[in-house]
Amino acid sequence: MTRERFTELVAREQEGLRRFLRALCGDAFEADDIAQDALVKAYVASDRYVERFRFSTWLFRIAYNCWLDRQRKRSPVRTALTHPDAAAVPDSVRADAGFEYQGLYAALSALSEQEKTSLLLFYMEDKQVREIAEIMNAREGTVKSWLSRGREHLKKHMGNER
Amino acid sequence: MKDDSEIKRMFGEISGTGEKDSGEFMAELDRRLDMVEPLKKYHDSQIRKYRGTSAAAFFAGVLACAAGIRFVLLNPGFFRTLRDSLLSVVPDIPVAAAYAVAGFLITAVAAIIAFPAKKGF
Repeated sequence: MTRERFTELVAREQEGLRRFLRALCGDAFEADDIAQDALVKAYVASDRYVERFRFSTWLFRIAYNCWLDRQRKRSPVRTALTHPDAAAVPDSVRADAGFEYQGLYAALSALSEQEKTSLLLFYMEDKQVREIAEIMNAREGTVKSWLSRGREHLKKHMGNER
Repeated sequence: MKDDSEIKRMFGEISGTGEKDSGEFMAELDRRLDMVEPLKKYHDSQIRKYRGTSAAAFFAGVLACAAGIRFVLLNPGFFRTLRDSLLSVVPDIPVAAAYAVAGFLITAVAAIIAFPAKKGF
């Protein structure tokens, strides 16, 4: 794949990718940094891109893995919180003055990584279950289960908020 | 309690992307791609090299097997004579095992020569 072609395809996808990463990590600056890292990795490996995947699915998969790598390098405390009391908005979210959806982000931050990611891909990016399974390297049945549990948890947390 | 369509609407309203606008983001990406261009060229050349070496090794293997089979078919007495002569010198060594070890060593040496250790970028 030539650089021009790569840049052309990325220009079409970057908005959705950055929106997804921003919602995932709750920090606009970090989201852009992860997106840049992911796109550079994608470019270096672009000769290995296989047509079996849609280009956007491939990019989201690389970006999701970049985000996971950063999560693993950090303290595991933030990602291990599953108790409802842990629904407090993380510092990074509070610090981002641009957030207009604090309630939703607060509820999302209380979900597990898999539930949050699958919900964002399904509802925000309109991805199919099959595509989400490819992005998250999981079975379709597992993704359906994450979506179902994520929906229930989200409803519960959004309900508690009111 | 929110129903499914309300969840979809709520997520659909999220419109913010990142810290920069699209133009700034793409300009930053272009700058980073310039920086990794030598790495990509090296990466691509390594892939081409390994693909070429793999194809050459495959065809060399096919040719060597064909030559070996041809040799055995044209010289049926050769291996019997070789085995008898080896057994007469070192009768305790199982000849089949010696062939297997020799075959393994030759393959390993050929693989090391064909795929040298990566020396880094």
